[in-house]
Amino acid sequence: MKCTRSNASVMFGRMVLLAVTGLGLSGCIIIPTPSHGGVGVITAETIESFEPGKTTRADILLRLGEPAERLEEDRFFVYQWKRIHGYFVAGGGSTGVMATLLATHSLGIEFTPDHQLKRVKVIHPWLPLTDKRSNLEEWMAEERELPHP
Amino acid sequence: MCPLPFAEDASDHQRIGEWQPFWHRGCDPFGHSADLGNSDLMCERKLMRTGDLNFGLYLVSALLLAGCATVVVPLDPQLVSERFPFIREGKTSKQEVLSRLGEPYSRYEGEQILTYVMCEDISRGGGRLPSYTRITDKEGEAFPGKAGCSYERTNNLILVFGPDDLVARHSVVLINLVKRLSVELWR
Repeated sequence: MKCTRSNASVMFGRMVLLAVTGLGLSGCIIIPTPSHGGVGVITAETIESFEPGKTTRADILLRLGEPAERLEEDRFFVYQWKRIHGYFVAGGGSTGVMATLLATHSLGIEFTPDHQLKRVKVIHPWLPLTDKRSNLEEWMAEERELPHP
Repeated sequence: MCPLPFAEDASDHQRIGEWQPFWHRGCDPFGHSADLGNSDLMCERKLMRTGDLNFGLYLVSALLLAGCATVVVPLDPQLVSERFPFIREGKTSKQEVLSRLGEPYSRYEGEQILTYVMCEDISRGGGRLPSYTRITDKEGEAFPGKAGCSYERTNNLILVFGPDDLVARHSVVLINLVKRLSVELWR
């Protein structure tokens, strides 16, 4: 079983290497980077300043503005922003094209019926052009079965 | 290396072990050494790599610029009061806000919180002090109708009302929405 898994990972690694080499030889390359830059970023300091049971929906709206999504009669807010996770470069020499590869970061916020913050969830994708929407939905579903306090 | 054209090279008189500066005196536009007036290997190599240098410089500058992130942050209260002088906490009523600004973009908590989505008018604000096409006309009066907004330059006015329907708290949040994919060309 262990051997099978290791063979599969070697095969996957080879495929990735082949894809990268192929792209490189064809004149284009993808350069993955740690997440950086971006527009409309909600910082970790801002998120850490929110206190469950103290911070209200009004506080969050005053601080972050309109959410990207309002779910279940404002029980959940979702904020989103994009950051650069890599670059796509094609061509070379004196002409070419470069594109930034973005990934969507999400902040999920749950409120209590008396408009106070209950919990938050931050989702940072590590691959460009990915959207980890399912992770956020799983987080929202965690306590959905329970009656709303 | 470009040898100096003159017989009296400074290095000729230099003692062993003495520090010797090396200066290349530059390349002319045709790839010739400014020192020699002839083709120079060092200069030729430089010219051949100009394209790569362009790309390298572009990549480095793009990476440096990309390192700058714009963060969601409320506007300085001083600037908010300059921009919306009619909004005074504890004094301005919801009715007045609605009559001046028109229908809000969103309502929360049974209309206790109203939000307006606005866009930055860079032609008037000069890029420093934002003004809002959604909000004010030339005389600074409220402009209830919607104006064409650049999607990437959106701001929110958030108004929280107290039980007496007077503005209790308010803020303007600067939100620059990112483009889905930015593609840049270099030449």
